[in-house]
Amino acid sequence: MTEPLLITSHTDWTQDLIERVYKEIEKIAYEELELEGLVYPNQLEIITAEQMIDAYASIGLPVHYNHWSFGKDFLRTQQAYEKGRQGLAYEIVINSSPCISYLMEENSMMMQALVIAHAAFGHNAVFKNNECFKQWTNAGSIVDYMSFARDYIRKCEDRYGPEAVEMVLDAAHALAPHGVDKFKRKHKPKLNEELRLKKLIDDENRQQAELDIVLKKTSFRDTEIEDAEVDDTEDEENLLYFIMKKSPNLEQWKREIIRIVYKINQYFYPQGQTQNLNEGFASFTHYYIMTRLEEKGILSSDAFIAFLDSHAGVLYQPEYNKRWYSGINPYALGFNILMDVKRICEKPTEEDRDWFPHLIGKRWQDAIKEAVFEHRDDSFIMQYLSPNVIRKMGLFSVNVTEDLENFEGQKAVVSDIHDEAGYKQIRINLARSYERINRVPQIAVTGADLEGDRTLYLEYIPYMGRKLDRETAESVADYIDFLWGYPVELDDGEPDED
Amino acid sequence: MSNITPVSTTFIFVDRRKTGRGKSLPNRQKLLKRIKDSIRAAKPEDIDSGGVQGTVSPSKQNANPVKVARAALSEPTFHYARGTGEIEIVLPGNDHWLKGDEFPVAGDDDSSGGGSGGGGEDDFVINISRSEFLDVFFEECVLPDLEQSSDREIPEAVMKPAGFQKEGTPGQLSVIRSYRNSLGRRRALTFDNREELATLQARLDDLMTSDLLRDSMPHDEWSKEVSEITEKIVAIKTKIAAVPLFEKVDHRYRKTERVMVKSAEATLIMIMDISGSMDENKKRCARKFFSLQYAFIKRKYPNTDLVFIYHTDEAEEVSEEEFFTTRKNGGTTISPAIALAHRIIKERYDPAQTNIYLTYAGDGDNWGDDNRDVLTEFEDRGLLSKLRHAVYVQVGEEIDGWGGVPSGQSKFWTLMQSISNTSRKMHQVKIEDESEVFTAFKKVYGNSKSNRD
Repeated sequence: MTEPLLITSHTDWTQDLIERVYKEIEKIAYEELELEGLVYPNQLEIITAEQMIDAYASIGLPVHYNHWSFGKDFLRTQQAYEKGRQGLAYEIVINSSPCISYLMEENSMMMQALVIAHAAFGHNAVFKNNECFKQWTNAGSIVDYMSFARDYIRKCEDRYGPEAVEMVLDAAHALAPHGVDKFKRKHKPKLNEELRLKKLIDDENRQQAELDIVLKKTSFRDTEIEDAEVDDTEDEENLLYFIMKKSPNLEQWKREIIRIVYKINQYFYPQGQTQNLNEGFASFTHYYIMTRLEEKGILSSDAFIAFLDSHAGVLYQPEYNKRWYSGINPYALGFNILMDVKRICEKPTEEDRDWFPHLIGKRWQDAIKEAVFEHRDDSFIMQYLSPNVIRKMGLFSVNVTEDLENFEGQKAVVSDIHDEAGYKQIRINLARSYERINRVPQIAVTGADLEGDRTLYLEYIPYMGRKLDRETAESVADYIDFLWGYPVELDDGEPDED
Repeated sequence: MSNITPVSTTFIFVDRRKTGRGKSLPNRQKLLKRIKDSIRAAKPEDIDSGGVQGTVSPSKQNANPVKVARAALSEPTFHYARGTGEIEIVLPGNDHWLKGDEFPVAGDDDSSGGGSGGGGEDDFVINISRSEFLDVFFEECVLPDLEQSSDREIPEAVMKPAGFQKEGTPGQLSVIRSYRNSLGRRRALTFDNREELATLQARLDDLMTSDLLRDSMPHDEWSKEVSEITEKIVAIKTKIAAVPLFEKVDHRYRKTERVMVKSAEATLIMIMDISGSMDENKKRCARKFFSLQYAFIKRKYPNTDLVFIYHTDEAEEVSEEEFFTTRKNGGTTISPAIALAHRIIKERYDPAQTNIYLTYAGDGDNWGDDNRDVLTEFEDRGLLSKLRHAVYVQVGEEIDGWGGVPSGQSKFWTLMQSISNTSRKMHQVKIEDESEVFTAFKKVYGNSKSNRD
């Protein structure tokens, strides 16, 4: 009846073709990768390049409140794209249910197949099954939540003026990296978020007048909805949460805006923790599926060569001494590790038997899923980075310290290389470099004199002898001042300049 | 080609291209507003780059407008100070390193990534040109007396010949130029052929005309050579004829350029008191005011002349550098400087053709009797009528004038006031401190209509 399905490198996409190819991809994903029941329903959206840049600028969420910094991101991406410095990554996918994947209109059919395999099955499965995502995100409600958040902030702009709203958002964004819970709070809110916000919007007109007066008198208490959440002050590391809860005179609407920023941060927290395994698994999935499509005669060999070209581009890892080196490519590292896990399951060497006894004889589908679903980047690398991958990528470790003999200088010594003596330590060092503390300094609330002059005390907790950058710290402290409304003391562990 | 296909039940397909466009438009508008606000709030020192002309000279572009916007667009977060403490970096692509080797410390940026790309702040370039910056900066300012003779306000552009160019429309084709090029090209291309042709032709002539030659060789050999040469000549001639008369490379088109005509000119005459009482601070105030004024006028008139006059009790026209660096002792009489300005106008400029702006900056300290002469120059001798606009900038702290003047007003200030009371061309403003320059400037030029009514 229908013609046999064949995609060449010249085939343009049509809705009909996408549907047929989707079914073939799904078949492979379910039957061979054994992902049946492990993905959210998929929603594929055809968009233009400009819309793709839009999507970048709102960090991939289909709905977002408005803020100038997203305009800045848009222009930054557009500039890079137009100068040809950056191709648009061919996929943006949203951790939502249904799981939304964007397909750019100018992609060939082969590229659309690649994106579907990569995003709609690879990332999708990570979103649904990875522990970190399961713990911190609610894929079913994010899009609705964002709509409410956007509407709420718009309402605030109408009522309090865009400038006032912008100030609060600026301040909350400055604290965003410190607006993340790393452990679950003891109490969950009684209502789910969007219902709560909806209630707020509905009630607001009626309540606003009295609320303002009441708030002024009773300071921070949030009305009956939230009493259960209040907890201790000491050593709180979630500054956003703390300010939202305890800032002495913050108006209700500002608290709500902070809450929104905090919720969005928390939603994105797992993505930052799982970049390597997430991109690694998505790449592993597309590579497997595209290879099978070619074997089944659905992809022509020239389309397959075009695919390999794209694939190599995405997975390209420049060496450390290349001008365009900008860190380890998470696609490459994650992909290499997972391909090696599969190899170890199928054809282990003597070395593998020593290093990965638990993988020997295991079905690779199970091993891969366990690696991807049960870990974060640091533990993923710690458990699965093999000597073989270390050798293949030529990984070596460099210890950089302050050179105390030459003021201000630094010195660096190669501490380990890809040999018998070095594998373990390189693995530890690389895993540790993905710990959050390597990127975000730890700042803790050490006290808030709520009964007295209401000074808020913050402290930088030093890590590896690193100092806090003073200039930006002062700017951030100004924002905290603004939200707190009373003096803020930040102890950065250094003697004062004056 | 597929028409309507049943929608698959396994996934949802959405064509989003028509809807959901321009989603980031409000974000970009907010961004723009933020940039503009930051420029508007900028102080004059943010755009001053030294000399009066430096303010708009493209060669002296400094990064200030960008700096202004950059500060407004920064998104600070807590982060570690570079180069402090200890860090273990894992790098790919080991080519020769052994454990214990000393490793070159990379330049201040990069290679400390650890892979997650969280750091890479601000590679973002904000493209604001100086002129865009000034547009916003002068947004609320109005050039005074625009309505008086608006025909002269708009620079008139005239097309003038400016040589030849390789591209153009047929109407601009210069036949003579193009033919000259064609001639050269054809000569060059057929040079070898022509030489060969000449040799062959000479031989043929010999064969045909010299009996001696004809008798010295057998007849069939002679006729064979003649026919061979004739054939060759025809072939070469065809070759030469095949070189086209005109190729695209020959074409030359007349080029014209847009030239601003003289009527679009403006002159800014700057007069400054440089007597002992004019200290550095006062001069800086004056310079800033002049800079802003020049930048502002220049935007209306691409050709703006500058005239610098300084004075003690004598007046002299000088270079910009001398103007701001010289300091002399001596008394202060203002009228010679005003008279000099008037003379320069008469000698060099036609008030009907040029928009003349005069700004005087000083601390208001004048020799008592001289004030009347200043007034005479402006009014009776007709200087004011030749000017488009005049500003008296009184810099420095107020000095008490001579007896009989109300406290806090120099006598000269009062004198100028008497002019500005009757003529809306004259404006006066006080600047005590550098920080007041921009406010003072806006006072003079800021929406002049409301000032007048």
